Amino acid sequence: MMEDLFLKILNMSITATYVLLAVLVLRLILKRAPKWISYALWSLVLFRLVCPVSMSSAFSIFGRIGKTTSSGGGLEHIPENIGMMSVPQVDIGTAGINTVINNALPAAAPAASVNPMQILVLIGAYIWLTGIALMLIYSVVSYLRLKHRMSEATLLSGNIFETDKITSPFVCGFIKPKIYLPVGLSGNERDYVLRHEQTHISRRDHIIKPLAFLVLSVHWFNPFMWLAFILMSRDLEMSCDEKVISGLDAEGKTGYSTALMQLAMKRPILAGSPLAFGESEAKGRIKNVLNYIKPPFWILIIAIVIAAAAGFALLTDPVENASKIAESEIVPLSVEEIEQYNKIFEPLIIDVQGNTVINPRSHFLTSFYDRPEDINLAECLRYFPAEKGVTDEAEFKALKEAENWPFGADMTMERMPVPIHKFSSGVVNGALLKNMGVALDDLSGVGMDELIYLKSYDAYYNFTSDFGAGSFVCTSGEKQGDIIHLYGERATLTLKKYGDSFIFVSHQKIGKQEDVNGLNGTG
Amino acid sequence: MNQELKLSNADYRLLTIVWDAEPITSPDLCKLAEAQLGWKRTTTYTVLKRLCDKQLLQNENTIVTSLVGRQEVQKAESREVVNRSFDGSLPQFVASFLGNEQISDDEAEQIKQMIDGYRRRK
Repeated sequence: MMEDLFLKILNMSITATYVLLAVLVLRLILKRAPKWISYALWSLVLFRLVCPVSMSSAFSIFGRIGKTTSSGGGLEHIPENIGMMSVPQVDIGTAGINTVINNALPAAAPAASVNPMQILVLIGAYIWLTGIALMLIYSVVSYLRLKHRMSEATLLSGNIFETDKITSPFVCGFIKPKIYLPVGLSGNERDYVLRHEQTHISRRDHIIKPLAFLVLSVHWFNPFMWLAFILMSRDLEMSCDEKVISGLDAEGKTGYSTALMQLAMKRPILAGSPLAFGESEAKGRIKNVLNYIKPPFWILIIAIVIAAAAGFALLTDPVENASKIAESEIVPLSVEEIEQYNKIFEPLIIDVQGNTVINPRSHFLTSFYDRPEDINLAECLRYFPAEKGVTDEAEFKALKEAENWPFGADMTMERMPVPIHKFSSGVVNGALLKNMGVALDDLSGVGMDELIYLKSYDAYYNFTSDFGAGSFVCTSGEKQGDIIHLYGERATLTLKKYGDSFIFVSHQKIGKQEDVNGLNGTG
Repeated sequence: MNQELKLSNADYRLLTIVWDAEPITSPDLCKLAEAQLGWKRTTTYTVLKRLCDKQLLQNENTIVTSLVGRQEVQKAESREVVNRSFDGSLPQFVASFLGNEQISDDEAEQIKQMIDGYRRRK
């Protein structure tokens, strides 16, 4: 599902933002170390941006800041079922930020067929996809335009071309990369520039940078990732410079920085095209080149150790699994917990207005099922609060024409012995999703023949005047991971943790299979 | 030939090939341009068309010939450089070369002889 993917990407983006902040700090610490270490650190951010799950370790930095992994694996700052939560809650940053965001999130609207939060997530997903499309179109178009502009570039030798349409050199192409130089570079200048560009190619930078841009396109909504892209590009250039000058003497270093400066004086025209890359950031780069001294071995070792340790802490997910492994063993429920569950399943509850109403969960206790899809919909809707009765003659006529109309053809609305209850598909679907994690379409069809469904009104109808809510009383129970088994005298109820609440998994009768439909009799 | 020539590097390189090889058939020109400039056939035809429109080349029955000579073009180009970048001052133009030590002794001697020869002709 698109929304699920969107939420997954959002979570990955948030995780990556944490990693990015750590990388920014590390870059400061490693300022004097060779730039390739800073450059390598960006792979941590990249990993978090593309890979939802990671192995877990006790050293994970996310464990230190109280993050946990979701049941599906991966860090979860925004719950993936946020659309279904009665009170949507995220855990993005500090307590303060969380409070502000959580207060802004709309609460669930149980009467409506979709929660406002679901709509928000869906709109978000569409905006996200549109953004990706725009980014991709932009990069492809600018790449093709550049290719076209370069069609008249003239061959110098090998893969090196010269053209008067550019003022700064760049590499373009993926499989057979070409180097484009501005015309009129002096022999020395050209030599240095070529060394630089060839180093880019040998390091596969011409592939890495477009790939990084592709990832940025997916995470375009995250301003931190734009910062990451810019800084990564800078580290990429500087580490390339360092590789070039490590093979040059003092005179070569001066010559190289002069060449950089002279190119910088001409304005780069290619800043806009992400798929080919020109040179930029001349000032910082020249400083870096001139300040570059081959670092002593021990500095290098320390820098690598710091980077590797940080990398390990940033790459791994917390071992919430230490407790999770313990959890996957069967743990009996305490007396308090059993009491809590019995309270949750009381047939009548008092709502926020102080009225006694039928427990919305009771509808899932009026029939037996081994899996959510097999719930008896007729039993489920038996005492489900109806939105309204039927007062419309046309609708009544349509009901009478239904195959399983039980009251005979000459029945009139006035003479109906029992009220007609109407349930729109949207409401039923919403209740199923919220309580069972399945949609109407997922159901296997148990009990459908007892209901009347009118396509033109997209609603289900039943007829009842009595009232009897389903209930469940457990005497013992146990939990295993996020599964909860509750044992009553007549039945076993299985629940699964789902966000801040739970969904029904199965409701199974104990002993012989008698009267599978209808635990409380039918009315 | 008009003053405002404005030849791109690509234009000039193709002109050079034609001057060296004319008369030449356009398919042969494509082959030469591919070998020497790394151009696709379509690129060669685009530039050829542009040069024909500028009346520097002509392409009749796939035979390409030049309408202006190499020296004419060079003269116009250098005049333009002097006008544009050196306020029309030839000494400034030469000085910029000498200042950057970008000419060898050999080249300097050649230039001196050229100037001497120009004086004698007067």
